[in-house]
Amino acid sequence: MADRVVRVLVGKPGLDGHDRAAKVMARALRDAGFEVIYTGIRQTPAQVAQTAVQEDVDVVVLNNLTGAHLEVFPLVVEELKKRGRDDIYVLATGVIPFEDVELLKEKGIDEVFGPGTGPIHIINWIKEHVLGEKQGE
Amino acid sequence: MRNKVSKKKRLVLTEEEVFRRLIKGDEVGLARALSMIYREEASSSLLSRIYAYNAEKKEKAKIIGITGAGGVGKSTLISVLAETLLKEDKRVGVIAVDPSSPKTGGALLGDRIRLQHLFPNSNLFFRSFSSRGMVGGINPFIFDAVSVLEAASFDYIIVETLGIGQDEIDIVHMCDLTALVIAPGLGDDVQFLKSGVIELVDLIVMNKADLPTASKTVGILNSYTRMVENHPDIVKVSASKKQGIRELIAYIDNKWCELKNTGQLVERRTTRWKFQVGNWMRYIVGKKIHGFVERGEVKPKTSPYEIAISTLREWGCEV
Repeated sequence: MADRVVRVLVGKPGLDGHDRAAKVMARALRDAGFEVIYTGIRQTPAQVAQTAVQEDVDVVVLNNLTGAHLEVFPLVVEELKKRGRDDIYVLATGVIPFEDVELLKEKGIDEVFGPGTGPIHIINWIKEHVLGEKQGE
Repeated sequence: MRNKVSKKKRLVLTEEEVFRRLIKGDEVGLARALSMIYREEASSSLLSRIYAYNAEKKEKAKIIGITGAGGVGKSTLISVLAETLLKEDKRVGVIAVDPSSPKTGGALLGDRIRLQHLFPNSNLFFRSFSSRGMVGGINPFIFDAVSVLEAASFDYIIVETLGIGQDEIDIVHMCDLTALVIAPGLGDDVQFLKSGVIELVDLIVMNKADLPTASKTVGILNSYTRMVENHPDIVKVSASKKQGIRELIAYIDNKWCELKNTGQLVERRTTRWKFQVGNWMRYIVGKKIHGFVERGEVKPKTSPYEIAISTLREWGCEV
């Protein structure tokens, strides 16, 4: 059997054209040995979810920098559920205030990576949860 | 951060479920079949079932290969092709191959971006694959992936490969017909002289034909294709301006029907099947060779050829 290659979708739901962070993150995840599918900007939650299903990814990393995360991120979770794939991890990234973290988790987001976290934190989280590799501090 | 998150259990489908769901065109089943094949988790019986199922099918999908250098507009062209076909209520499946990193094996797969605006759509399926560092453009997994899409009853299956259009010719063995996409101002006339791909493709799509330099490139191309027996036609389009797309589809449809009616389609698919046998043999033996070389002893006083021959004979190859 070939080595298990982790597939990650980097999605930008919502009306947000700021894609530098998403692109840097996509590249960092690629350099970590993952197969990264990038949707491009201004996606609807349904577009992100259908893409995740078709690409059979392990993780969806959502990014939004406009403050719409409380609205659009949970909709992606719902759309995945509708398609029978709520087993896919959903991570939230972007300018997310600390007080929104629990709200997002209550709505099905598995982890939140707000300001101050770097790609390495996301990479380690994915390796731990998908590959079961415990990462050192 | 608090460690409240419990681990999710990844959806598991048996091969039976995968098969039943994919022939109904179910996206979850179809996507999983492709993952199983690409991860070498599928048993050979799943693939045998898919091949047997396809052989019995009356309605064949039109398998169209799209190749060409980076930046000529392959993805944009596929996007407008898909958009037009979807308007005609056709089911379209797309497979796109992007390079993987030779260092980490990771890959950034961005071919979807050009047609994300067509989603959500239940008649459109798109899957991105990494090349896994295999040269020649195509690896055996991509080949089998096309057969999986065929079983899911798409009207059109479009395969997009990376390729500079010189050596990456495996795609023509994989598809019913293959188009080489070119754009004005890329490479000089010697590129066309060198290229073997012109002898093999069924048509040349001149993209960005709205640019003023397009007619010059077409002129140069014409002078070379004329030297090739059964040379491919040149179809001019502008993908970004959506010009010439219906004409291109009509050309493809006519050509495909012509192949079908003259028996060439059966011939091509037989060649395709044989080629895939060879693909798998190369892949399997290649892996064995790779393992041998990695752990092999170094004997600088012996010629490498000597070691190669004696090892292959040890493995029972009559060489």
